[in-house]
Amino acid sequence: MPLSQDEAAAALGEIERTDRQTTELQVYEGAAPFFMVWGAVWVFGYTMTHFMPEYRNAFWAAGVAAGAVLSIVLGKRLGTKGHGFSPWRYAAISAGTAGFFALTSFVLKLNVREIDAFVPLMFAGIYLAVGVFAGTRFAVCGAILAIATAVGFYNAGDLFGLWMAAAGGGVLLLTGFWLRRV
Amino acid sequence: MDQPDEIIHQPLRLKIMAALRALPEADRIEFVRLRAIVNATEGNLGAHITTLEKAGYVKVEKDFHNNRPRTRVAMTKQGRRSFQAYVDYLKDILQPG
Repeated sequence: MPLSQDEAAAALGEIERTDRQTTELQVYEGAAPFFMVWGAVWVFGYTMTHFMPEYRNAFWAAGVAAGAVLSIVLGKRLGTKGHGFSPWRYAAISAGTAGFFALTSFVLKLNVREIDAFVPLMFAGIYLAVGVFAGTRFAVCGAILAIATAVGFYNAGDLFGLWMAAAGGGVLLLTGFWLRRV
Repeated sequence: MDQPDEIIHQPLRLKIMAALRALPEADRIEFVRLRAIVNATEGNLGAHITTLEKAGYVKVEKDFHNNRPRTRVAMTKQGRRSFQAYVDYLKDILQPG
């Protein structure tokens, strides 16, 4: 028996909903390892610079370099599965982001504590914006990251670095695990 | 097409096909992820996937990953064509001519 217009519209609506949900879960699955990698970089960077602040630049340079290399490797793997970017795009994004933060910190003459808050707040904003288009889990991550950063900035005192290692890096790591879940 | 493809038109199979069509071509999805997307029980999903497999619309691959059994489902070329024909049929109903 041929379908009515209402039945056809309902079926097309169901297809569109399922398509959106599947794409969202695919994006989550693809993003999960990157959150874990960068969460680990943040834990490493904030923890090490808290205990050995004199080597701050070296620790962060090593952490970001390791994160960028791992991102390229992950990007290559995802690229072969058809839902990733080319590895060089990840490299360009990593280099561009590092350059942006270095330049902004220099121009705004931010002190170390302010830089330690500025970077995660910028990423929180990016995740919130991405969340609007690509899935609410990113937005939730951004919101929690922003709140955790602000709370630590005003309340953690000399332990702000450790706070950011646990709260900032922790939020990214937990988001990575959350994104892997169906 | 005067009639909807009855194999695809069943509500759960429609969701399965829509989910598989959203994947990049030749990509596969794990059974557990598909189950979460279409919100079905394991037995129900398995039965409908078997129907789609018999029709040649999907293919099922079973292997071991990290020492655990893994079942993955992909849409075949024939499945992609039939699903597109079904979508075109629905659109024609809404916008005849």
